[in-house]
Amino acid sequence: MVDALTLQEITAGYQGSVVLRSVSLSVPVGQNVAIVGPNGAGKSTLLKAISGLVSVKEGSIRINGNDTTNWPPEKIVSAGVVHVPEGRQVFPGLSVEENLWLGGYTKPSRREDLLADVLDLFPRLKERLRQAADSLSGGEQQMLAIGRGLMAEPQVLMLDEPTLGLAPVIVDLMIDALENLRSRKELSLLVVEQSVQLTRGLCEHAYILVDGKIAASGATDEVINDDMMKIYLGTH
Amino acid sequence: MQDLVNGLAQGAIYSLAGVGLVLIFSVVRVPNFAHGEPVMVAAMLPVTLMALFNMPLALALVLGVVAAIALGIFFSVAIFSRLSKYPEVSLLIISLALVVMISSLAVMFWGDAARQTPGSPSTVLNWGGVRIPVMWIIIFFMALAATVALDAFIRYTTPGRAMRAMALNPFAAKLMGIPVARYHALAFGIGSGLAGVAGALFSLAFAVQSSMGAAIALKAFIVIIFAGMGSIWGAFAGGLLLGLVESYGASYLSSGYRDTFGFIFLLGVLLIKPNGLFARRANG
Amino acid sequence: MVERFGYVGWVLLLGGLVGIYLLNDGYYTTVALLMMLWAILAIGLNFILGYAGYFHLGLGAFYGLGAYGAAALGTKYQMPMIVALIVMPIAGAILSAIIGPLLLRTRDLYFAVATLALGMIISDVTNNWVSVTGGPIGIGGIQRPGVIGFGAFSIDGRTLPGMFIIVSTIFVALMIAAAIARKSNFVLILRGIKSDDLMTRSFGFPTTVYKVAAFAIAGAISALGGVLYAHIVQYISPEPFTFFAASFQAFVVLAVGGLGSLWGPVLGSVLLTGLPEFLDLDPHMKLIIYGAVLLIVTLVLPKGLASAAQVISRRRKTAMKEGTE
Repeated sequence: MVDALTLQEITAGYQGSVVLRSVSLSVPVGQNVAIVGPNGAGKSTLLKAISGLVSVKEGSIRINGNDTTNWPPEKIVSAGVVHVPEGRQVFPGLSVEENLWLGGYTKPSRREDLLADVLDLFPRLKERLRQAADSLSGGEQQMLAIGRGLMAEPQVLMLDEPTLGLAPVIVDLMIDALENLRSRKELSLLVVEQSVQLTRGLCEHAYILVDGKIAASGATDEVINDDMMKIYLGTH
Repeated sequence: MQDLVNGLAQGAIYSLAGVGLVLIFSVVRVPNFAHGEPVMVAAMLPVTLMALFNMPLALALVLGVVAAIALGIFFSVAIFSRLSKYPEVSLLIISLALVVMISSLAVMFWGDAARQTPGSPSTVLNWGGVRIPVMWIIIFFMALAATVALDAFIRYTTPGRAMRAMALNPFAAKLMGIPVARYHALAFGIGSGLAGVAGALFSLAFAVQSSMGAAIALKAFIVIIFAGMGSIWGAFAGGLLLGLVESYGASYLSSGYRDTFGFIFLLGVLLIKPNGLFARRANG
Repeated sequence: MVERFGYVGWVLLLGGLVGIYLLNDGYYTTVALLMMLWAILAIGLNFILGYAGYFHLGLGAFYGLGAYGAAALGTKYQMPMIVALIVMPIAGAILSAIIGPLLLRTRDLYFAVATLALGMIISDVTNNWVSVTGGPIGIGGIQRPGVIGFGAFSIDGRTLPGMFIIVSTIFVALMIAAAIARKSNFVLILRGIKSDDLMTRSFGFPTTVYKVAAFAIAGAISALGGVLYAHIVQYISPEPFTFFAASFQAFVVLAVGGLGSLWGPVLGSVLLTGLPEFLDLDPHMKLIIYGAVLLIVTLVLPKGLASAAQVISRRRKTAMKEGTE
């Protein structure tokens, strides 16, 4: 079966600079992949290259086998890959419901069902449906951001540091919700994370990104162990 | 009292232009100083069309507005949508260059004489000694109707909501699958269309000339800076207020300085409240 | 390398000025005078825009102030030009210093719009305050300076060549001052402000004071230009000091020549004044070209001509190095 998402020898960066060098990775259908690495390694840039925000200079990106390299962001979303960015980035002043509504921009006919699903997954959002998005707590905003991403009915949901800055209690809730997503056979997660706990529990595969290059990859248990972490990250 | 009526009529024009500029600036972040050029085009073109092609007034006016919309879309597609990474100030400079070029072309084509589009209803109401030309009433209600329509559009339609999302968080909007380039052009098209309507209406009631673009643009800026770059109804109110300031100022002080009052008002607002009176909270 | 370029620049400048004088052709002399006027405005603009990074679009107001002040001093009070040359720049500086602190609180975009409004206000005032400015008709009959010097070394300011010498001398002096200022701590701090205002402030520099100073210098130099204009042309009206006629063109001159460079004002002025003159362009056409040129420069060469020269010389230097190794 064709992988949901494949990157082959991606070289990408911002105007005039190269951040990622010959990066290759794949996200199999229905399986979760983690990307770990030190700060500045280029993890966010990698997600942006996939979602079309950063231009790819060499290499190819395929979604379900179709070449989507350097497609504009809106087409990537329609192709089934959704990027939930770092820092939540909710629409301030709009309510939870309005934020979710916008998430479903590409699926207007399925909105009602998708909304019901998201609210099932994150009951807290159901309670705060009419509340202004920027008045929510950090954890709730993150749930909103993820829920908003799910409204586009993705095949690959990319999460950039979903637990950053959240209290441990909230992180647990987050992990529970993401675990719930496992039951969706067609959905894969591509998660950029610092939290080892989350990646070990959630993702079958992992890649270590250092200085814009893939330093190691494989099954999570093999890759994310004490030795590897010491070598590449200088920490556990 | 006459001043009040004068002020509201002129002010409604400023409101229309200002509301159009609010749309453009908040959705695509372009401080479009060339916004006065669609106003000018829709003000000058109808007379030429009617003279050259014997066109009926209504058609000429519509074509004038269409030309304004086309100009706006041209700005978007050919120029500003390619420059989204540039700082706002550079975009202002670029729009200034456009103003210079377009208004010079217009003066070369039309000369700089003042003129007015004929054919507006000539009835003048008289309400207790106050002269109220019917055209002015039409202008006011059209400005009001346009603002209501735009507000509804933004709130209740999908493109409107998408544009609102772009105004609130352009980065996140892209990630929702919103086709930003398309709405860039749409924002410019609608905003310039409103400017065109302002120009067409203005030319029916008052004198216009090919060099009017810059002063109108500055007044539209006054309106939105007063309203705080994001509030449609704030811009509407701001336009009326500017019209009133000019009207009373011209009446009590000196009519030659009519434009100056607005400019002084703008300076005053900027010096006291550098972010406008109704400024929206900055994005988180 | 920049030093070598600069050395060549001075030679060219002085050579050019001497050449024009010796040529003694009224037309070329007039064009050269115009070039110097625009360069003066651009030099003034350079302090607030090129170094400090604030988009002052209202320079025409101070240019006009200098001109009208000189006209008043010259016609109403029979003062010689030298008085205006001292008084008007000071007036320009003081007025800038008064309104500056308020204006400079606003950020880039609003500052630009505010100075735009300022320029338009002054335009309106010069058009309407008929008793003082003569309205659209303006003020005429401004006297040229008389004979300066003595015997064989006298310069007759009433003649065009004489005026040319006077203006050239002032211009070269201004260029020298600008060259010296460039190396000063003052300009360094302005550059710091342009690059990162907050950080510069965190090092203990009162950035507002420096910004106001730059704004005042721009006002003073523009007023100086205005005084010279009034005495060269001997007649002023509101028209030459509007946004389109003055502020915009000075901006284009500097942008094309190179923001923040020493020779930018000269390069930009020579190109943008010389070309339309020699092509005999219609004034509207000239503005259209200016607009187009500005568009091109903003999009393609954001740092203007002076930096292009640096890039070319750097490339040549690299090529030479590579050739010899």
